[in-house]
Amino acid sequence: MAELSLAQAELHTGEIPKLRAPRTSQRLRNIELGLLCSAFTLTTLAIMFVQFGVVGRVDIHPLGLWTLVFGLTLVVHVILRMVAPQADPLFIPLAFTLNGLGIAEIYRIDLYAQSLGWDALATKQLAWTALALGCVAAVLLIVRDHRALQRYTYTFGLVAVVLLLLPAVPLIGQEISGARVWIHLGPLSFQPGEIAKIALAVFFAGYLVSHRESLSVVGRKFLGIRMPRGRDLGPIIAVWILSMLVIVIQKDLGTGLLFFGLFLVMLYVATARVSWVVLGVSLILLGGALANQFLGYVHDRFANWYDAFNPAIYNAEGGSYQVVQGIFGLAHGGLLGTGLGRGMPYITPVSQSDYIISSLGEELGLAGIFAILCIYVLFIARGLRIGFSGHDDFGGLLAVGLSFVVALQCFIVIGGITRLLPLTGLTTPFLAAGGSSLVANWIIVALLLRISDANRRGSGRVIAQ
Amino acid sequence: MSELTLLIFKVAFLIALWVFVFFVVAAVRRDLFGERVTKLGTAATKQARDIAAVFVGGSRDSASSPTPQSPAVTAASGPLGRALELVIVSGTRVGDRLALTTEPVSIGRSSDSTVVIRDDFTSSHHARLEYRSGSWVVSDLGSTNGTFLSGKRISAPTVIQLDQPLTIGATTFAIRAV
Amino acid sequence: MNRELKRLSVVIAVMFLALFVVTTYIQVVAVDSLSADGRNTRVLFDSYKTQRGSIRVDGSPVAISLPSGDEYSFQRTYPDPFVYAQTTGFYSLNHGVMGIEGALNSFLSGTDNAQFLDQLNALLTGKPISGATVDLTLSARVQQAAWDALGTFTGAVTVLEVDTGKIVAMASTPSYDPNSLSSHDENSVIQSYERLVADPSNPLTNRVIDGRMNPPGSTFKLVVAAAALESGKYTPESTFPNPSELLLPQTTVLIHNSDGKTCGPGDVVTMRDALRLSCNIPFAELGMELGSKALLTQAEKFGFNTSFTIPMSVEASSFPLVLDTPQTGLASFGQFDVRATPLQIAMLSAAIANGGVLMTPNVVESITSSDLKPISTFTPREFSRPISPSTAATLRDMMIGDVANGAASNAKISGVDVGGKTGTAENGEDQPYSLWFTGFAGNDAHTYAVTVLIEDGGGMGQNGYGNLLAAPIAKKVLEAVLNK
Repeated sequence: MAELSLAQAELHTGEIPKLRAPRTSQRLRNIELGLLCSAFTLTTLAIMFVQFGVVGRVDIHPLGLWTLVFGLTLVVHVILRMVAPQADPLFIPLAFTLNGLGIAEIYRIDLYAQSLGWDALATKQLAWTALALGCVAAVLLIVRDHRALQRYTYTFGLVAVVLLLLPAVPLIGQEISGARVWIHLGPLSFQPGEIAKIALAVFFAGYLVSHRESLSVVGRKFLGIRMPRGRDLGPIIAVWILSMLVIVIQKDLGTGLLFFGLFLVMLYVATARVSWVVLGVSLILLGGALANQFLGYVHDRFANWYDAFNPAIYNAEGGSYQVVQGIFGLAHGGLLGTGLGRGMPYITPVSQSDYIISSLGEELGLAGIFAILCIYVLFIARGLRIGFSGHDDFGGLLAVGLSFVVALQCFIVIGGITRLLPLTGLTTPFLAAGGSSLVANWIIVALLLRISDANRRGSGRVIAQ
Repeated sequence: MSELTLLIFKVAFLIALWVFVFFVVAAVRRDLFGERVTKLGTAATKQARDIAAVFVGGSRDSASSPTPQSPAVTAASGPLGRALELVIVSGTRVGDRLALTTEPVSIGRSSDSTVVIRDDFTSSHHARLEYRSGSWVVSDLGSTNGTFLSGKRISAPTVIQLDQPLTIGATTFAIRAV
Repeated sequence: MNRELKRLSVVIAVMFLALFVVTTYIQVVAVDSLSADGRNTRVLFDSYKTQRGSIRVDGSPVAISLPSGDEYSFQRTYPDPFVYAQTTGFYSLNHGVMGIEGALNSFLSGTDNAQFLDQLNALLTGKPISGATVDLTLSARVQQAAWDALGTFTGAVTVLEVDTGKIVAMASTPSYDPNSLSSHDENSVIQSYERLVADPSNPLTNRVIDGRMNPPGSTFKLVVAAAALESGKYTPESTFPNPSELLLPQTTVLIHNSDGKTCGPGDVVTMRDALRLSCNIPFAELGMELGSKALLTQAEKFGFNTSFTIPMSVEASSFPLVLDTPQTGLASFGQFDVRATPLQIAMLSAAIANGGVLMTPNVVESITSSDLKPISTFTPREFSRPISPSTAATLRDMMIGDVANGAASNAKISGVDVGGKTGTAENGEDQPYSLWFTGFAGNDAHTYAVTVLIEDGGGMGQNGYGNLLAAPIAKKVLEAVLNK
């Protein structure tokens, strides 16, 4: 600081003093590199301890694959140095850590099931991670200025709707465990809803930034709150109907809730009107009541939630067996967990995807779960921070929307597993086995990196007292 | 592999996990706990003088000081017609300038602001200048002490006129044509 | 926008705080109750890793884990399965645990916090931990006698050492083979379990402490007599009108004594004679005079309406909280909605025989860790003082009279003062009776309370009665206790 002041003092004596030019240094990238190396060490340890715990010796093969993925991450890091040097340094190390912990736990259950090669979900997850990192690089190289996305606001809206409706198309759509959220193209299956959430966030941000003034106008008072004008209700009703369609046609409660929650939060942040939140929450309650009444699967979900330990519900087909076993798993872990590879997470159905948090909670204990939650909190806080910096409204709103998607998804999934909420079929960001989710969340990382870089660019002219 | 070894591994991994989390927190601790305010010995007196200067509408650098009540010229013609710059007219760094393009300029204590002001009166994200359809618009970002245009606190985005004093914390800016 | 963002941050913070709280709840606060859930197979699989402790009676195991050589390492075996089945319970792969196996699971499996040093030692030396050994208070000789005496009846026998509360015998018939449930062959376990659950005679139930509870019938007159004496308004010589039938007030219900006649020859009858001859009408009159509140208070002092553990949990015997006068009349001879476990009825005799001090029943003598260090040893604990020593002495005399020359004569043992009270309880029209005997006898060292319950009328429908079927069983068991 002293040196800086000296430099400033010298500048002051110049004829036309200028604010000190922004650092073009790679300080942030150096932080990122350091954290990324620690993250790699940590995740490599995780995979090794899984091997010690399950088979008692080290197998070099999966470690090699993970090192390759680390190499790809370093490539992304180098790209950042070139095209977005001021991007936030936490996103990549945090996402990489979660991704690695997920793979370690997926691999742990593969070892129990003796799945090998392409039958093993861990192998697939590694491949998807590589693909996702490719997507990150592509987004960073193609989208040089996130504000360009605003020009395609309505295109993104259309893309989102098409993606959402794809699984309903007969030939390519596919129903897996009750929910019609998959499309099948040759050997690949994909959940387009995951990508749709990004397109929707872009669409909402673009739309709200240009319509915030009219949406902020309030109309009559109702129940002591000034409600929006009737003619402005169109968008919220449209998004509500879209979410309900997802819930009815695709039988996907979580995605419907996620989309509507995303819209509601972005609407509130853009317009600063609490009345929208009141209205939105009423619509959620209405939708929930209707769904509970008329949709058998929603009704079952609710029953599995509030009366999970009832033997009749526990033993029923599609009953609460899964929820209860997930909770037993967490309880089995206790404070410090059983140790990686030492628990019995495989007893719980879908322990590698929907229940990955329960599996990790069993083997890492409360100490591990808290650390994982902290990593999510840090990730989300860094995303919200972009909104706080107030550099540009579109970018800020988009960053807030994308971070909130991650937050809400964590809350819905982990809340569902711990019986805080009824269980809904969403994936835990970065941790759960599943390619679409992984790719989508890494694209969110790419967008957040891009916006945070734009935010900091030209920043840092210091005036110290 | 003995139970004891596995227990050690288990605890070691949890420690490693938390060490990583603390690494991350340490890396950004400045962002998390706010910028450190550098206080020099004379800071307090200087601030007081600066604030007084703003209220009398003057500045220490009388040669370059604009009169706040002088006939305002709207910065309407945009940066392509006339080059504009943001000048500090009162505060520590009087006379410092920043050329304006169409890029927004954010002002605050946080290091990701375009103009970083480190004093006790500035919020981490304080205000923003934005080029909107021909004019520069200033908006307050929910700061604690407010953003003042010609001595009046603004409550909504407001068009800023050429040479109009814009006060943020202990610093006053103005937009000028080059 | 920043004000809204701050609020949003608070909302997100609350969401994550909720996740922190709920995971803490599951992984720390609720761990014990979740581990105790029989459906938590993780706990079960964990417990197969250690050599489970034995359950012993008089030093020889009635449940023991032996090396099995299969993936579960140990096989739980029950050397004398039928006699001890309801007490030991079973330890199964996929149907949970019951009895002592369930109640003391954490000790038997070595996971209890009291065994922390063992666990640490096992960790450091690499030797697998073994569970603690549980010694029961049962006496093999008395238990066998009780089992033999019950024979083919559906019923239960229990014996308490009155000054300590130790349970000396706890037999329940029909029984089952817990070995059929501890097998590692899942399919055969499932078959056995489903057969046992479907069996209408409920062999899995420990009739001494739970299951279908029976009306206590005339054994409940001990509670009514105790309440009367405690009130200070009555003595054994207090008299009551002696009609051959009594119309309960406000109803059309007529009640009779068991033989349909008056209670002895006179116009009036004393409480002593009414208890000795087990007459219903005088006790209905006495109960209605005392009122339901007094009966409830007395019953609850003896343990009614309370559940406790021995360490298996004992179903609470019930005396209704609110009764009108005619219902009080019926309840006074143990009918209407009064229900009791044999252990509860044994506690009546135990309190009377122990000078009015009721000791808490328990079946565990000691718990010893695998390195022979005691973890817990039996200490007598007082349950309550339901009656004064003088009331206890009076009732004791009356019960001895009941056996010596009254309705419980079949429990007589020559040269021993045996006290007793029979019961023949109705379960509804055309339903077979529940037959009872409760009583006590002692030697120089200890006095023992015994209770016999025979369900389903002992196969005689409505023709059997307590003195005919239950009293002789009590006699055989008491003889075994007193070594006669």
